[in-house]
Amino acid sequence: MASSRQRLVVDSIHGDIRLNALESALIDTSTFQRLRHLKQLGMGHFTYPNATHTRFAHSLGVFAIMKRVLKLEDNPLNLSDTDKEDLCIAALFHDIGHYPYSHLMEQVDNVRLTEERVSSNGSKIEVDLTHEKYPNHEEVGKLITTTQGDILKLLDKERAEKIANLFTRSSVADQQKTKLIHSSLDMDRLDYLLRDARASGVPYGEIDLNYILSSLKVSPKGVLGVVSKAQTAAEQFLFARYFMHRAVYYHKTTFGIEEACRQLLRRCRDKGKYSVPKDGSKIREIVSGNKLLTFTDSFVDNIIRNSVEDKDPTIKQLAQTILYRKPPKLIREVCQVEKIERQTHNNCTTFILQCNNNLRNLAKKNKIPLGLFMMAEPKMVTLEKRGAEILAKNADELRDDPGDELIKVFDGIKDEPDSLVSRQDSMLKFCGGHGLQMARLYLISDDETLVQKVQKEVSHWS
Amino acid sequence: MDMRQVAAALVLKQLGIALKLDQFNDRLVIQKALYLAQASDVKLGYFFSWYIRGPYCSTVAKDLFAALENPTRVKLELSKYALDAESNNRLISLRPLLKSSLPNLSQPMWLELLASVHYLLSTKPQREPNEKEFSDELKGLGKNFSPPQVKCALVELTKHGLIKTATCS
Repeated sequence: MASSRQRLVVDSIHGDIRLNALESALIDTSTFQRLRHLKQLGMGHFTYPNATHTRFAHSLGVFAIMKRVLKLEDNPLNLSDTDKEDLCIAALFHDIGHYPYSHLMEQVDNVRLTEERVSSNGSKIEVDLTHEKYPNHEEVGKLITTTQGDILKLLDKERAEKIANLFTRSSVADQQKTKLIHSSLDMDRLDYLLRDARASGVPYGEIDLNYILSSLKVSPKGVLGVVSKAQTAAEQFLFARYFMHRAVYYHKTTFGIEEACRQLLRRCRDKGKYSVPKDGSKIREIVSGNKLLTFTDSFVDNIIRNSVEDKDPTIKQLAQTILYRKPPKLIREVCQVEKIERQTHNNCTTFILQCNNNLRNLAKKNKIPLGLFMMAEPKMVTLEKRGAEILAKNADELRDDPGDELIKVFDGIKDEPDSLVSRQDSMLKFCGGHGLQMARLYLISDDETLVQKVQKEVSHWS
Repeated sequence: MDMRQVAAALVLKQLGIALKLDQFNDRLVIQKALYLAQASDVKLGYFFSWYIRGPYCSTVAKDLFAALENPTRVKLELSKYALDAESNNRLISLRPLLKSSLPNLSQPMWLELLASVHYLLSTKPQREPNEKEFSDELKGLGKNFSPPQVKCALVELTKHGLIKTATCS
């Protein structure tokens, strides 16, 4: 039964957040409360000790932003009160499907072991596409929303499915509404940049959230954008996201520890150890049943604790790296800013190829197990997904391309907004469509002398 | 490249789809080809949702843009891997489906039709496929596919085992 109680929650970013009776009852469910036990920044607290904020807080933050957006004066989508409530609940639930430690466990299927990367004996490694991969967190979120009993007691099945379709963009019928959650000015991003920056203690994520939100406008065609006077705030938002990636999300220590965790989970799963779910069907079983409530960061903590005394020396050392906070040592990092759509060989790809060719011998020569080296290629960090020249060339087609969900600005003359990257007075015209690419090589070792020796050898690779 | 990028590239190679993203239609063909590969039980792990031109997965786009930064490297990496036999055979049998069966429909349009019809059916599995209803529904979504075109798509999807039965009224 829904609680008849409305509620006020005080949030460190948004201040007072008001919930109606239904919203209040939904956050009180055990299913939603699970988000209190998922850290927003995964293992970020290993670098920034205060970065222990939760998905729960972040979900409330996105909900608060949605509430503000829906209070905009214009209502060109003619949203009913029920539509608005559905959108608010979709915003609240958008991360309900997250795995333990954020994206770590979700990405286990994508992990390549070092031994596989540097394979040189001529035989091919089989890629098995007959087993279910771990579903992504959006899909898990849909499953949770439409199967967990405590949610279905408050939302009937049809409404639960409708809301799930909103936050997973699965709804064929509600395209305009789903754009409000997944639009160019991403509400998810607006909350997490500020929240993550303040929790970490870095200044790079400080954005002018109030000004952006108060400058939002929806066009007659349902496109969300900012009015031109907020262009500076919108540009600064994109740069903030870029700097937060460099300083926080891809911090060398955090990334190294997380990579160690990914490698550990993959190895344990391959060997059937410590209850690492063997495939996607097992994940689906967990998240649609009563084991969901144990599927929190502790789930992975237990795997790490059990692995610390494993007989496999690589598994043991990976686990100890995490549990005792002995971060992998960065042997070498190569960074390059590149055009997103330029397909050329650059310093990063050269370095990766050098690792592929030389790592096996390096490991053998220094008597280091190959599995203690980790190659990492964080995803490219872009300012905007497309550059001005690509937009100019393919404007008509890109309208239909979701990759073109770029930040939009109303110029005050036309009804529909333009992309920020195409505006003559925007720095993004020149920087948009570029991204930072990185390639890193880590070594798990406590031996400083050995680490320095390896660093020196790697620096001489040609 | 991560394992999912490797798998996607191998699947596209087996389907005979060029790994290029220059034009919008190149990207559309890749999206729909991977969607149909998954629909034929080749488990890549992508989650598709609906966008203007039918089922779309933003992760596919990100994966392939990232992978294609260096075609030489893609070639080198792919040389280390091979698909399992079962998936390989499924993809080989899927290849004829990807060629347009209708003379006035280009490959991108054909794939958009196939994938859109399959997606609509999969969202309501109890639904009996009906070409007129689907054509009307697709028109409502801004797509202009006639009932005979939809019928042809249903028949081909059935023939290749992606849907159970097509009863064309």
